[in-house]
Formats: sequence, C-alpha cells, structure tokens
Amino acid sequence: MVVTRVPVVDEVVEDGESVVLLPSGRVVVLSALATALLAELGAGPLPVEVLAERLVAAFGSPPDDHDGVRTTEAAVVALGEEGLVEVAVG
Amino acid sequence: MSAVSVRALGVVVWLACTPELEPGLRAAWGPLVVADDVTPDVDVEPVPDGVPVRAALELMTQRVTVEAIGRRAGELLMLHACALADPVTGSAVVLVGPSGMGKTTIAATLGKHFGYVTDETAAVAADGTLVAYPKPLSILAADHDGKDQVSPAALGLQPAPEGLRVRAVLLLDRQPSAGGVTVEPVDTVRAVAALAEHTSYLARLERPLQRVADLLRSTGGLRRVTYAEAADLEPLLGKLLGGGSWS
Repeated sequence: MVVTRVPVVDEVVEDGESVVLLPSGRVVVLSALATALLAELGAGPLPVEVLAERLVAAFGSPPDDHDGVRTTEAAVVALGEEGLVEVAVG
Repeated sequence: MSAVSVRALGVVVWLACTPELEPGLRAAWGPLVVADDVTPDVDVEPVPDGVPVRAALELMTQRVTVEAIGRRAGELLMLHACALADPVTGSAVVLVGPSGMGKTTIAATLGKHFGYVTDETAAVAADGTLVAYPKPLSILAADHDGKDQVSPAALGLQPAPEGLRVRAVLLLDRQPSAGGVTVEPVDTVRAVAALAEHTSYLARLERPLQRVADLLRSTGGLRRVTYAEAADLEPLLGKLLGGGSWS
C-alpha cells in the first residue's frame, strides 16, 4: 500500500494539529496524528510501513499494535474518505 | 419606474423600484444612499410587482447584501457577524454567529452606546482595516407579521468613525438560560474552522485559512461568548474597546 497526499487549498498548523480547506470547500480539523501523517507525505508518496515506522518514532507504539501498521492503515483509510490521501495497492 | 443607488461595502448598487417603494428605500438606507449621478457598479433584480412594500424592502436589503458581498469576493474577509466600534478611536469588536444568535439585537441594543458598524457582514481588508456596512436593520414589527427595514439613525444608533480596525473577535453562543456572560478561548485550529464556517466566499480568498488565522493572531485569538441578553455584553465590549485585556 503506497500513500499519496492530495493537495488542499490551504492549511493552518498550530500546536501539532491542523485545519485544512479541501477543494470541495469543506473545512476539516485534523488530529496531531493525522497532521503528522500528512506532513510525512509532503515530500512524496510513501509505503504505509514507512509511514507507520515514522509515526511510531514520533508518537510511540499504539496499544496492541507494536509496529503501528494497522493503526496507520486505519488513519490512511479515514484520511482517504476525507479526500486527503490516495492509496495505491501494491 | 424609480431608482435609488446605495453604497454597500464600497459597492454602488442600483435599485430599480416602483415610486411607492422609493421613500421607504431612501428612509431605510439613509446616509448610504448615493447621488443619482454616481455610476453604479451593479444593479439588482427588481422586486416583482405585487409584493407588499414591507416585504419588498426586506427583499431589497437582502439583494443589496448579496450583490455587494459577491462583488468583494476574493478581496475582503467577510464574516457573518455584527460589529461595534469605539465612536472615537475606531477600535471594533466583531461578534460572529449564525442567524438566530442575536446579531441584529446586539447591534440595535449596543449601537446606542458604541458605533454601529454592521449587523450582518463584518468585512476585513487585507491590511486589517474593517469596512463598515451600516445597513438598515431588519426589526421584527410590532404591528404585523414580518420585519421592518429601519435605518440606524431611526433606532438612535451612533455612527462608526472612519479608520476602523478589529480589536477582538467573539463567537456568539446565545443561551437564553445563561446566567451572565462567560468567555472562553478557542484554540487557533478550531477557531479557524469555526470562522471559516461563517465566512462568505472563503475559497475565493488567497490563502483563505491563513487570512483567518492572521486576523485571529492580530486580535488575541477567538473567544466563545455565552450570553442571554444583548445588554449583558456591554461591560465586556466596553472593556475590550477601552483597551482592556480579556482577563
């Protein structure tokens, strides 16, 4: 699974959290985890395993998910539903 | 056919009307009426024949606002808000909220003490100045169903001075059962999201969320204000416009 960030119209980041304006006109508030995930994608697409590794380094391991991959996948799916990332399986 | 031109948010709007409507239009728009020889920027769709005078005047107020906002889209940050100013210094408080949060009542009540800037659209320029829009107020009529368009002067409201600048931004939360006024800060991320929801033509601005954030950073951040009656807000506004702090 390779994750790509979808451009937004504008964003404000403060204290780790962010608010973004989507091309659809919708405004979405993002948690610190989601904000960090999108920031990691700023330089280009990444495999979900790499994303998970970086998020675990920043936030620690989630409970019952030592390498953070399942939690990261869930976050990617949620961001995909908001139109903030695209996922290529492979 | 008659016509009246008014200046709204710096836009000259031409209103074609029946002779029957003209006196009411001129009375309601008062000092915002411009001379007949001024070239209008835009004209609004005339109200169809047969619409009662009071309803026609209300419709025309709405149409003027829509046209003016549309013409300033992409330029002004236009918040759904009322605003009041110190009549001398031009420092202003912007009170943001959806319909039903009491913006017109606040303007009509506190505008007797502070300068009336607007009861509907607080328009902030890129340099931080506030563009006044002292439109007629839509006041629930005592003698009929519907609203009257009443000029600020007829309500005894004070005019706002030139050189308006935003001193504070409040998010209105009217709770009829609230005891007194409570003020709580809103963090920047949620404040930007809240104000974005109450901004006209947000996406037409360059870096729209940054524009909202810049306004908040320059005014000490957004505060959610819970209140019951408009008059209860006077001490808070007096403190803010007198240069006082939040605490």
